[in-house]
Amino acid sequence: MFPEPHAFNYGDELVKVPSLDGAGKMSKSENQYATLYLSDDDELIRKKVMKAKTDSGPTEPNTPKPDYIENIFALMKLVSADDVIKKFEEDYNNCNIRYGDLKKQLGEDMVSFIAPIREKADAIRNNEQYLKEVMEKGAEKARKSAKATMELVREAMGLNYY
Amino acid sequence: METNKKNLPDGSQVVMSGIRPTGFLHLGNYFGAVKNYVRLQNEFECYFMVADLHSLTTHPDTKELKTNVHRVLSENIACGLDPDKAALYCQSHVYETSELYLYLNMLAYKGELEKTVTFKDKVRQHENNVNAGLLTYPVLQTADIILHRASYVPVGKDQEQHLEMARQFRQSF
Repeated sequence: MFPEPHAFNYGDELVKVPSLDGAGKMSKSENQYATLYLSDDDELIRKKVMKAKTDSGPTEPNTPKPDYIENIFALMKLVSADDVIKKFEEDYNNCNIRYGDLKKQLGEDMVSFIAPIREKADAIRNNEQYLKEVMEKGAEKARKSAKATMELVREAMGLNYY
Repeated sequence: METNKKNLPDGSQVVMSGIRPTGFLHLGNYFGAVKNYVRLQNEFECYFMVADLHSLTTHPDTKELKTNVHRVLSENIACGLDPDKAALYCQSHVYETSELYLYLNMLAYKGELEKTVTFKDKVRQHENNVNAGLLTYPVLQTADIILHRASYVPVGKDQEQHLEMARQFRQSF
């Protein structure tokens, strides 16, 4: 009567977004300052990114990256252009990377990514009439599917008296 | 629903996922979940539900609920979730959910529910409010899925236990 439900994920996903303090992934229950919210304003985004943990940089060419540096690059891969990432990778491998510049770049790219979403969300949030219409339309679609299911369920439960 | 959506591999085509109305969306939510919803809505029949009934089990104070529901809807839509493509709705607006939850509760056993990892975690987090809703939280999750006869639930590995419960329940019918 019902299909078997399974977890579904696109093969390439289950993206882990590391937190800015190098400890675990971004989540609301952990350090607020290590998590970037879609509602953060531009200054806060820059500030959080600049606080990300770094060190004095590699001294040997092609040193493996410590995890907190790896995390910064991982975040960059989500929002920065390929040539930008490539440049910093090369700088790292040549031991002339400047982490201040790396974080400044990441901060700007995060701002470019988050700001349009934040602005759009604010505009929607201030339009209560639109939200009402969204909820009504959604409920109507969901109820149509639910009604069909419940007829089958009531029948199966034996709650059919006429 | 759109007619150009293809079927999932087993022939069915319904995707169901819940969205918590607590807290603000962060980058981890975006890349871990919302981005996939946006892709799924173009390919399958999708039901994305703001889980406001679920939130009552752990957040009995509803003062902030309206603000939170509006925020979570706005942020998801701003990320690309399209109310014209997917059914984006609030759990409490579809009363059949509660009816199905009641029936499923008759098929759910206290001992099994007490054993779930999520219940044990929640008891620790909310030790002063261990209500029956907390115990039957996975039953409500099952109702959400069965309600739309969904085959696919875009969730992480930590949700496997309640999916297993949903698989068992469906066999009771």
